[in-house]
Amino acid sequence: MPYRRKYTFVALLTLAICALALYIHRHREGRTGFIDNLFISVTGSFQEQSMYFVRGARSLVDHYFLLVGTKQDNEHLRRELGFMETKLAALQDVEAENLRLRESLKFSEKIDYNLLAAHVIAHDVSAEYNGVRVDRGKKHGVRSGMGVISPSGLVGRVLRVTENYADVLTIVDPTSNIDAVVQRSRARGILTGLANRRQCRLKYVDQLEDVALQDTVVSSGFGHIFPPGLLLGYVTAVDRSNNGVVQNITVKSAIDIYRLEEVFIVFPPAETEKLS
Amino acid sequence: MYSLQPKQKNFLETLNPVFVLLFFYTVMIARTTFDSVLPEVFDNLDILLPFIVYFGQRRSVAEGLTLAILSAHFYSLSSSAPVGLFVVHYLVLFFLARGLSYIFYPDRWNTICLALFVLSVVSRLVAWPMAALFEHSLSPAWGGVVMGWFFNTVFGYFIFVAIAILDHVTAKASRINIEMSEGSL
Repeated sequence: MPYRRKYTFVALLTLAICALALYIHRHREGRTGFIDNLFISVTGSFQEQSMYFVRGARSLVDHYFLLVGTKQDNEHLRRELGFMETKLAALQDVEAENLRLRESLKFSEKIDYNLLAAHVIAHDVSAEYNGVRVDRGKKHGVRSGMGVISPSGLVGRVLRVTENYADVLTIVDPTSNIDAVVQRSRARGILTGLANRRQCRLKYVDQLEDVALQDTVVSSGFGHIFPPGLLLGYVTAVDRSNNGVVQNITVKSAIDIYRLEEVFIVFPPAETEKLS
Repeated sequence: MYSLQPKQKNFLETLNPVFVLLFFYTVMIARTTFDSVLPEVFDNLDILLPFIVYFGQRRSVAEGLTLAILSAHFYSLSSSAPVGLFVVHYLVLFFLARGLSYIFYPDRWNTICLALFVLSVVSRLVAWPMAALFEHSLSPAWGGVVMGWFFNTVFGYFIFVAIAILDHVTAKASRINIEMSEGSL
Protein backbone atom coordinates (compact mmCIF):
# COMPACT_ATOMS: atom_id res chain seq x y z
CA MET A 1 0.00 0.00 0.00
CA PRO A 2 2.73 2.54 0.85
CA TYR A 3 4.44 1.62 -2.46
CA ARG A 4 1.23 2.25 -4.37
CA ARG A 5 0.85 5.64 -2.68
CA LYS A 6 4.46 6.46 -3.49
CA TYR A 7 3.96 5.59 -7.16
CA THR A 8 0.71 7.58 -7.28
CA PHE A 9 2.54 10.57 -5.81
CA VAL A 10 5.40 10.27 -8.34
CA ALA A 11 2.90 9.90 -11.21
CA LEU A 12 0.92 12.95 -10.07
CA LEU A 13 4.11 14.98 -9.61
CA THR A 14 5.29 14.04 -13.13
CA LEU A 15 1.90 14.98 -14.55
CA ALA A 16 1.97 18.32 -12.72
CA ILE A 17 5.47 19.12 -14.01
CA CYS A 18 4.44 18.21 -17.58
CA ALA A 19 1.30 20.35 -17.28
CA LEU A 20 3.39 23.27 -16.01
CA ALA A 21 5.91 22.87 -18.85
CA LEU A 22 3.06 22.74 -21.39
CA TYR A 23 1.47 25.83 -19.84
CA ILE A 24 4.76 27.77 -20.05
CA HIS A 25 5.35 26.58 -23.62
CA ARG A 26 1.85 27.64 -24.74
CA HIS A 27 2.32 31.15 -23.34
CA ARG A 28 5.86 31.82 -24.56
CA GLU A 29 6.62 35.12 -26.32
CA GLY A 30 3.44 36.76 -25.07
CA ARG A 31 1.03 34.28 -26.67
CA THR A 32 -2.40 34.27 -25.07
CA GLY A 33 -5.53 32.16 -25.43
CA PHE A 34 -9.20 33.09 -25.55
CA ILE A 35 -9.70 33.15 -21.76
CA ASP A 36 -6.49 35.14 -21.25
CA ASN A 37 -7.61 37.70 -23.84
CA LEU A 38 -11.01 37.94 -22.18
CA PHE A 39 -9.35 38.46 -18.82
CA ILE A 40 -7.05 41.17 -20.20
CA SER A 41 -9.97 42.91 -21.94
CA VAL A 42 -12.11 43.00 -18.80
CA THR A 43 -9.16 44.02 -16.61
CA GLY A 44 -8.10 46.65 -19.16
CA SER A 45 -11.50 48.33 -19.12
CA PHE A 46 -11.46 48.52 -15.30
CA GLN A 47 -7.88 49.78 -15.35
CA GLU A 48 -8.80 52.39 -17.94
CA GLN A 49 -11.57 53.78 -15.74
CA SER A 50 -9.45 53.56 -12.63
CA MET A 51 -6.52 55.32 -14.31
CA TYR A 52 -8.77 58.16 -15.54
CA PHE A 53 -10.01 58.57 -11.98
CA VAL A 54 -6.45 58.58 -10.59
CA ARG A 55 -5.26 61.08 -13.22
CA GLY A 56 -8.30 63.29 -12.65
CA ALA A 57 -7.81 63.31 -8.90
CA ARG A 58 -4.07 63.94 -9.22
CA SER A 59 -4.59 66.67 -11.77
CA LEU A 60 -7.18 68.34 -9.53
CA VAL A 61 -4.85 68.32 -6.54
CA ASP A 62 -1.80 69.38 -8.57
CA HIS A 63 -3.39 72.12 -10.62
CA TYR A 64 -5.98 73.67 -8.35
CA PHE A 65 -5.06 73.00 -4.76
CA LEU A 66 -1.29 72.95 -4.69
CA LEU A 67 0.14 75.19 -7.41
CA VAL A 68 -2.30 77.23 -9.39
CA GLY A 69 -0.69 78.02 -12.76
CA THR A 70 2.93 77.26 -11.90
CA LYS A 71 2.55 73.53 -12.26
CA GLN A 72 0.97 73.85 -15.71
CA ASP A 73 3.75 76.15 -16.92
CA ASN A 74 6.35 73.82 -15.55
CA GLU A 75 4.72 70.83 -17.21
CA HIS A 76 4.51 72.65 -20.51
CA LEU A 77 8.17 73.64 -20.33
CA ARG A 78 9.22 70.14 -19.31
CA ARG A 79 7.32 68.67 -22.23
CA GLU A 80 8.88 71.18 -24.58
CA LEU A 81 12.32 70.41 -23.16
CA GLY A 82 11.69 66.70 -23.66
CA PHE A 83 10.72 67.35 -27.28
CA MET A 84 13.81 69.50 -27.80
CA GLU A 85 16.14 66.96 -26.21
CA THR A 86 14.77 64.21 -28.41
CA LYS A 87 15.00 66.44 -31.44
CA LEU A 88 18.55 67.46 -30.58
CA ALA A 89 19.60 63.85 -30.04
CA ALA A 90 18.01 62.89 -33.35
CA LEU A 91 19.69 65.83 -35.15
CA GLN A 92 23.08 65.00 -33.67
CA ASP A 93 22.62 61.47 -34.84
CA VAL A 94 21.64 62.67 -38.30
CA GLU A 95 24.70 64.93 -38.35
CA ALA A 96 27.00 62.06 -37.39
CA GLU A 97 25.30 59.82 -39.91
CA ASN A 98 25.64 62.44 -42.64
CA LEU A 99 29.34 62.75 -41.97
CA ARG A 100 29.80 59.01 -42.21
CA LEU A 101 27.73 58.83 -45.36
CA ARG A 102 29.60 61.69 -46.98
CA GLU A 103 32.82 59.87 -46.28
CA SER A 104 31.67 56.68 -47.84
CA LEU A 105 29.51 58.35 -50.51
CA LYS A 106 26.71 55.96 -49.81
CA PHE A 107 23.22 57.00 -48.81
CA SER A 108 20.84 54.74 -46.97
CA GLU A 109 17.26 54.52 -48.05
CA LYS A 110 14.96 56.80 -46.06
CA ILE A 111 12.38 54.82 -44.09
CA ASP A 112 9.04 56.35 -43.15
CA TYR A 113 7.26 55.28 -39.98
CA ASN A 114 3.62 55.79 -39.13
CA LEU A 115 2.71 56.60 -35.51
CA LEU A 116 -0.42 55.74 -33.53
CA ALA A 117 -1.12 57.65 -30.30
CA ALA A 118 -2.11 55.62 -27.22
CA HIS A 119 -2.77 56.26 -23.53
CA VAL A 120 -1.02 54.39 -20.75
CA ILE A 121 -3.81 52.85 -18.65
CA ALA A 122 -1.91 50.64 -16.20
CA HIS A 123 1.51 49.73 -14.91
CA ASP A 124 3.04 46.36 -14.15
CA VAL A 125 1.56 44.58 -11.14
CA SER A 126 4.86 43.11 -9.97
CA ALA A 127 7.74 44.76 -8.16
CA GLU A 128 10.50 43.39 -10.40
CA TYR A 129 9.11 43.96 -13.90
CA ASN A 130 8.21 47.24 -15.60
CA GLY A 131 5.65 46.82 -18.34
CA VAL A 132 2.80 49.19 -19.15
CA ARG A 133 -0.63 48.58 -20.70
CA VAL A 134 -1.97 50.90 -23.43
CA ASP A 135 -5.48 51.40 -24.80
CA ARG A 136 -4.76 50.28 -28.36
CA GLY A 137 -5.04 46.72 -29.64
CA LYS A 138 -5.51 44.45 -32.64
CA LYS A 139 -8.50 46.37 -33.92
CA HIS A 140 -6.28 49.48 -34.24
CA GLY A 141 -3.70 47.52 -36.22
CA VAL A 142 -1.28 46.94 -33.35
CA ARG A 143 0.85 43.80 -33.59
CA SER A 144 3.24 42.11 -31.23
CA GLY A 145 6.82 43.36 -31.60
CA MET A 146 5.99 46.92 -32.74
CA GLY A 147 8.06 49.74 -31.24
CA VAL A 148 6.63 52.26 -28.76
CA ILE A 149 8.04 55.77 -28.35
CA SER A 150 7.20 58.96 -26.45
CA PRO A 151 8.29 62.60 -26.71
CA SER A 152 10.91 61.87 -24.01
CA GLY A 153 12.44 58.95 -25.90
CA LEU A 154 12.04 55.30 -26.67
CA VAL A 155 9.58 53.43 -24.42
CA GLY A 156 9.84 49.80 -25.55
CA ARG A 157 8.06 47.31 -27.76
CA VAL A 158 4.65 45.64 -27.82
CA LEU A 159 4.75 42.31 -26.00
CA ARG A 160 1.15 41.07 -25.99
CA VAL A 161 -1.90 42.28 -27.89
CA THR A 162 -5.61 41.71 -27.37
CA GLU A 163 -8.53 43.23 -29.27
CA ASN A 164 -8.49 46.58 -27.43
CA TYR A 165 -5.33 46.62 -25.36
CA ALA A 166 -1.63 45.99 -25.71
CA ASP A 167 1.06 45.26 -23.11
CA VAL A 168 4.34 47.07 -23.68
CA LEU A 169 7.71 45.76 -22.54
CA THR A 170 9.56 48.94 -21.52
CA ILE A 171 13.30 49.51 -21.86
CA VAL A 172 13.70 49.43 -18.05
CA ASP A 173 12.26 45.92 -17.82
CA PRO A 174 14.86 43.22 -17.07
CA THR A 175 13.58 41.03 -19.92
CA SER A 176 13.96 43.82 -22.50
CA ASN A 177 16.97 43.88 -24.85
CA ILE A 178 17.42 46.73 -27.32
CA ASP A 179 20.20 47.31 -29.81
CA ALA A 180 21.76 50.67 -28.86
CA VAL A 181 24.69 52.90 -29.79
CA VAL A 182 26.58 55.57 -27.88
CA GLN A 183 25.92 58.64 -30.00
CA ARG A 184 29.38 60.22 -29.72
CA SER A 185 31.64 57.23 -30.31
CA ARG A 186 29.17 54.86 -32.07
CA ALA A 187 30.06 52.14 -29.55
CA ARG A 188 27.40 49.49 -29.87
CA GLY A 189 25.76 47.35 -27.20
CA ILE A 190 22.54 45.87 -25.91
CA LEU A 191 20.49 47.97 -23.49
CA THR A 192 18.67 45.96 -20.84
CA GLY A 193 16.61 47.02 -17.81
CA LEU A 194 17.66 46.56 -14.21
CA ALA A 195 14.21 46.08 -12.60
CA ASN A 196 14.51 49.64 -11.45
CA ARG A 197 12.38 52.65 -12.27
CA ARG A 198 15.01 54.40 -14.40
CA GLN A 199 18.20 52.37 -14.54
CA CYS A 200 19.45 50.23 -17.41
CA ARG A 201 22.68 48.49 -18.30
CA LEU A 202 24.49 48.69 -21.63
CA LYS A 203 25.86 45.20 -22.16
CA TYR A 204 28.53 43.72 -24.44
CA VAL A 205 30.49 46.95 -24.99
CA ASP A 206 34.16 46.13 -25.55
CA GLN A 207 36.73 47.39 -22.99
CA LEU A 208 38.48 49.30 -25.80
CA GLU A 209 35.38 51.26 -26.83
CA ASP A 210 35.24 54.95 -25.94
CA VAL A 211 32.34 55.54 -23.52
CA ALA A 212 32.27 58.46 -21.06
CA LEU A 213 29.91 59.80 -18.39
CA GLN A 214 26.92 61.77 -19.71
CA ASP A 215 27.25 60.22 -23.17
CA THR A 216 23.92 59.96 -24.94
CA VAL A 217 22.68 56.46 -25.80
CA VAL A 218 20.33 56.17 -28.78
CA SER A 219 18.58 53.41 -30.72
CA SER A 220 20.57 51.88 -33.55
CA GLY A 221 17.52 51.30 -35.77
CA PHE A 222 18.67 47.75 -36.37
CA GLY A 223 15.74 45.53 -37.33
CA HIS A 224 13.53 48.48 -38.30
CA ILE A 225 11.44 48.15 -35.13
CA PHE A 226 12.28 51.70 -34.05
CA PRO A 227 13.59 54.65 -36.06
CA PRO A 228 17.35 55.10 -35.50
CA GLY A 229 18.64 57.88 -33.24
CA LEU A 230 15.82 57.79 -30.67
CA LEU A 231 16.91 58.86 -27.22
CA LEU A 232 17.32 55.94 -24.79
CA GLY A 233 19.22 57.54 -21.93
CA TYR A 234 22.47 58.93 -20.57
CA VAL A 235 25.54 57.11 -19.29
CA THR A 236 25.77 57.50 -15.50
CA ALA A 237 28.56 55.05 -14.67
CA VAL A 238 31.35 53.31 -16.55
CA ASP A 239 33.33 50.55 -14.88
CA ARG A 240 36.38 49.14 -16.66
CA SER A 241 37.97 47.74 -13.51
CA ASN A 242 36.93 44.11 -14.05
CA ASN A 243 39.18 41.66 -15.83
CA GLY A 244 36.64 40.75 -18.48
CA VAL A 245 36.47 41.84 -22.08
CA VAL A 246 33.47 44.14 -21.65
CA GLN A 247 32.72 47.30 -19.68
CA ASN A 248 30.01 47.66 -17.02
CA ILE A 249 27.97 50.64 -18.22
CA THR A 250 24.97 51.99 -16.32
CA VAL A 251 22.49 54.15 -18.20
CA LYS A 252 19.75 56.37 -16.78
CA SER A 253 16.74 55.97 -19.04
CA ALA A 254 15.28 59.09 -20.64
CA ILE A 255 11.75 57.99 -19.83
CA ASP A 256 10.18 57.70 -16.41
CA ILE A 257 7.50 55.04 -16.81
CA TYR A 258 5.47 56.45 -13.93
CA ARG A 259 5.24 59.82 -15.70
CA LEU A 260 4.20 58.37 -19.04
CA GLU A 261 0.69 59.29 -20.08
CA GLU A 262 0.69 59.28 -23.88
CA VAL A 263 2.89 57.13 -26.11
CA PHE A 264 3.11 56.42 -29.85
CA ILE A 265 3.12 52.97 -31.39
CA VAL A 266 5.49 52.78 -34.35
CA PHE A 267 4.20 51.03 -37.44
CA PRO A 268 7.10 49.60 -39.43
CA PRO A 269 7.31 50.57 -43.14
CA ALA A 270 5.60 47.35 -44.34
CA GLU A 271 2.66 47.88 -41.94
CA THR A 272 2.45 51.56 -42.95
CA GLU A 273 2.05 50.52 -46.58
CA LYS A 274 -0.69 48.04 -45.62
CA LEU A 275 -2.53 50.71 -43.61
CA SER A 276 -2.34 53.28 -46.40
CA MET B 1 -23.97 35.97 10.50
CA TYR B 2 -25.14 33.76 13.30
CA SER B 3 -28.75 34.11 12.25
CA LEU B 4 -27.99 32.32 8.95
CA GLN B 5 -29.28 28.83 8.38
CA PRO B 6 -26.69 26.02 7.94
CA LYS B 7 -27.63 25.74 4.24
CA GLN B 8 -27.06 29.45 3.73
CA LYS B 9 -23.73 29.23 5.55
CA ASN B 10 -22.70 26.32 3.32
CA PHE B 11 -23.67 28.27 0.24
CA LEU B 12 -21.64 31.27 1.37
CA GLU B 13 -18.70 29.03 2.19
CA THR B 14 -18.88 27.53 -1.30
CA LEU B 15 -18.69 31.00 -2.78
CA ASN B 16 -15.75 32.01 -0.59
CA PRO B 17 -13.02 31.22 -3.20
CA VAL B 18 -14.84 33.43 -5.72
CA PHE B 19 -14.99 36.30 -3.21
CA VAL B 20 -11.31 35.84 -2.38
CA LEU B 21 -10.36 35.92 -6.07
CA LEU B 22 -12.54 39.00 -6.61
CA PHE B 23 -10.84 40.69 -3.68
CA PHE B 24 -7.43 39.83 -5.18
CA TYR B 25 -8.59 41.18 -8.55
CA THR B 26 -9.66 44.49 -6.97
CA VAL B 27 -6.34 44.86 -5.14
CA MET B 28 -4.51 44.06 -8.39
CA ILE B 29 -6.36 46.75 -10.36
CA ALA B 30 -5.71 49.27 -7.59
CA ARG B 31 -2.01 48.32 -7.56
CA THR B 32 -1.61 48.73 -11.35
CA THR B 33 -3.31 52.12 -11.52
CA PHE B 34 -2.56 53.84 -8.21
CA ASP B 35 1.18 53.13 -8.31
CA SER B 36 1.86 56.24 -10.39
CA VAL B 37 0.71 58.33 -7.39
CA LEU B 38 3.32 56.94 -4.99
CA PRO B 39 5.75 54.91 -7.11
CA GLU B 40 8.40 54.74 -4.36
CA VAL B 41 5.97 52.80 -2.16
CA PHE B 42 4.03 50.78 -4.71
CA ASP B 43 7.03 49.88 -6.84
CA ASN B 44 8.33 47.63 -4.05
CA LEU B 45 5.01 46.12 -3.10
CA ASP B 46 4.15 42.49 -3.84
CA ILE B 47 0.36 42.26 -3.49
CA LEU B 48 0.15 38.54 -4.23
CA LEU B 49 2.45 37.52 -1.39
CA PRO B 50 -0.07 37.94 1.49
CA PHE B 51 -2.66 35.99 -0.51
CA ILE B 52 -0.23 33.13 -1.09
CA VAL B 53 0.84 33.14 2.56
CA TYR B 54 -2.83 33.02 3.56
CA PHE B 55 -3.63 30.19 1.12
CA GLY B 56 -0.61 28.25 2.36
CA GLN B 57 -1.49 28.76 6.01
CA ARG B 58 -5.26 28.58 6.16
CA ARG B 59 -6.49 26.51 3.23
CA SER B 60 -6.42 22.81 2.41
CA VAL B 61 -3.69 21.83 -0.08
CA ALA B 62 -6.16 21.29 -2.95
CA GLU B 63 -8.07 24.54 -2.45
CA GLY B 64 -4.94 26.54 -1.65
CA LEU B 65 -3.12 25.21 -4.73
CA THR B 66 -6.06 26.00 -7.02
CA LEU B 67 -6.36 29.53 -5.64
CA ALA B 68 -2.58 30.06 -5.78
CA ILE B 69 -2.32 28.88 -9.42
CA LEU B 70 -5.31 30.95 -10.57
CA SER B 71 -4.21 34.13 -8.82
CA ALA B 72 -0.60 33.69 -10.01
CA HIS B 73 -1.82 33.26 -13.60
CA PHE B 74 -3.99 36.42 -13.37
CA TYR B 75 -0.97 38.18 -11.88
CA SER B 76 1.15 37.02 -14.85
CA LEU B 77 -1.35 38.46 -17.31
CA SER B 78 -0.93 41.89 -15.73
CA SER B 79 2.84 41.79 -15.91
CA SER B 80 5.50 41.83 -18.59
CA ALA B 81 7.30 38.90 -16.96
CA PRO B 82 7.26 35.65 -18.96
CA VAL B 83 4.01 33.78 -18.29
CA GLY B 84 4.77 30.82 -16.05
CA LEU B 85 7.44 32.55 -14.02
CA PHE B 86 5.04 33.77 -11.34
CA VAL B 87 3.13 30.50 -11.27
CA VAL B 88 6.34 28.59 -10.48
CA HIS B 89 7.55 31.32 -8.10
CA TYR B 90 4.35 31.46 -6.07
CA LEU B 91 3.91 27.70 -6.02
CA VAL B 92 7.29 27.49 -4.30
CA LEU B 93 6.17 30.19 -1.84
CA PHE B 94 2.87 28.40 -1.28
CA PHE B 95 4.63 25.22 -0.18
CA LEU B 96 7.08 27.21 1.95
CA ALA B 97 4.15 28.99 3.64
CA ARG B 98 2.55 25.61 4.16
CA GLY B 99 5.73 24.28 5.74
CA LEU B 100 6.01 27.37 7.93
CA SER B 101 2.53 26.73 9.31
CA TYR B 102 3.84 23.56 10.96
CA ILE B 103 6.47 25.63 12.77
CA PHE B 104 4.18 28.44 13.92
CA TYR B 105 0.61 29.39 13.13
CA PRO B 106 0.14 33.13 12.54
CA ASP B 107 -2.96 34.22 14.40
CA ARG B 108 -1.84 37.46 16.08
CA TRP B 109 -0.48 40.64 14.54
CA ASN B 110 3.13 39.87 15.47
CA THR B 111 3.12 36.30 14.14
CA ILE B 112 1.30 37.38 10.95
CA CYS B 113 3.91 40.11 10.37
CA LEU B 114 6.72 37.65 11.11
CA ALA B 115 5.35 35.13 8.59
CA LEU B 116 4.95 37.86 5.95
CA PHE B 117 8.43 39.21 6.59
CA VAL B 118 10.08 35.79 6.43
CA LEU B 119 8.30 34.89 3.19
CA SER B 120 9.00 38.31 1.71
CA VAL B 121 12.73 37.73 2.27
CA VAL B 122 12.48 34.19 0.89
CA SER B 123 10.46 35.50 -2.08
CA ARG B 124 13.38 37.71 -3.13
CA LEU B 125 15.81 34.82 -2.75
CA VAL B 126 13.53 32.67 -4.92
CA ALA B 127 13.11 35.46 -7.52
CA TRP B 128 16.76 35.50 -8.60
CA PRO B 129 17.14 31.83 -9.57
CA MET B 130 13.62 31.94 -11.03
CA ALA B 131 14.61 34.85 -13.30
CA ALA B 132 17.70 32.91 -14.36
CA LEU B 133 15.47 29.93 -15.15
CA PHE B 134 13.49 32.18 -17.52
CA GLU B 135 16.70 33.50 -19.15
CA HIS B 136 17.14 36.97 -17.68
CA SER B 137 18.57 38.46 -14.52
CA LEU B 138 17.32 40.68 -11.72
CA SER B 139 19.59 43.33 -10.31
CA PRO B 140 20.21 43.07 -6.57
CA ALA B 141 19.17 46.67 -5.84
CA TRP B 142 19.28 46.35 -2.06
CA GLY B 143 17.59 49.67 -1.28
CA GLY B 144 14.45 48.63 -3.10
CA VAL B 145 14.62 45.11 -1.72
CA VAL B 146 14.76 46.22 1.93
CA MET B 147 11.97 48.75 1.35
CA GLY B 148 10.02 45.93 -0.31
CA TRP B 149 10.34 43.72 2.77
CA PHE B 150 9.04 46.55 4.96
CA PHE B 151 6.09 47.46 2.71
CA ASN B 152 5.20 43.81 2.06
CA THR B 153 5.02 43.21 5.81
CA VAL B 154 2.93 46.31 6.58
CA PHE B 155 0.56 46.24 3.58
CA GLY B 156 0.54 42.46 3.62
CA TYR B 157 -0.73 42.49 7.20
CA PHE B 158 -3.77 44.57 6.19
CA ILE B 159 -4.50 42.31 3.20
CA PHE B 160 -4.09 39.20 5.39
CA VAL B 161 -6.53 40.60 7.96
CA ALA B 162 -8.97 41.59 5.18
CA ILE B 163 -9.01 37.99 3.85
CA ALA B 164 -9.53 36.71 7.40
CA ILE B 165 -12.53 39.07 7.73
CA LEU B 166 -13.81 37.87 4.35
CA ASP B 167 -13.54 34.27 5.62
CA HIS B 168 -15.43 35.21 8.75
CA VAL B 169 -18.19 36.96 6.77
CA THR B 170 -18.58 34.00 4.41
CA ALA B 171 -18.54 31.51 7.30
CA LYS B 172 -15.40 29.85 5.99
CA ALA B 173 -13.76 27.51 8.48
CA SER B 174 -10.01 27.98 8.31
CA ARG B 175 -7.66 25.00 8.02
CA ILE B 176 -6.43 25.07 11.60
CA ASN B 177 -9.97 24.50 12.93
CA ILE B 178 -10.61 21.63 10.53
CA GLU B 179 -7.35 19.93 11.42
CA MET B 180 -7.92 20.38 15.15
CA SER B 181 -11.38 18.92 14.89
CA GLU B 182 -9.96 15.95 13.01
CA GLY B 183 -7.31 15.58 15.67
CA SER B 184 -4.48 15.70 13.17
CA LEU B 185 -2.50 18.44 14.92
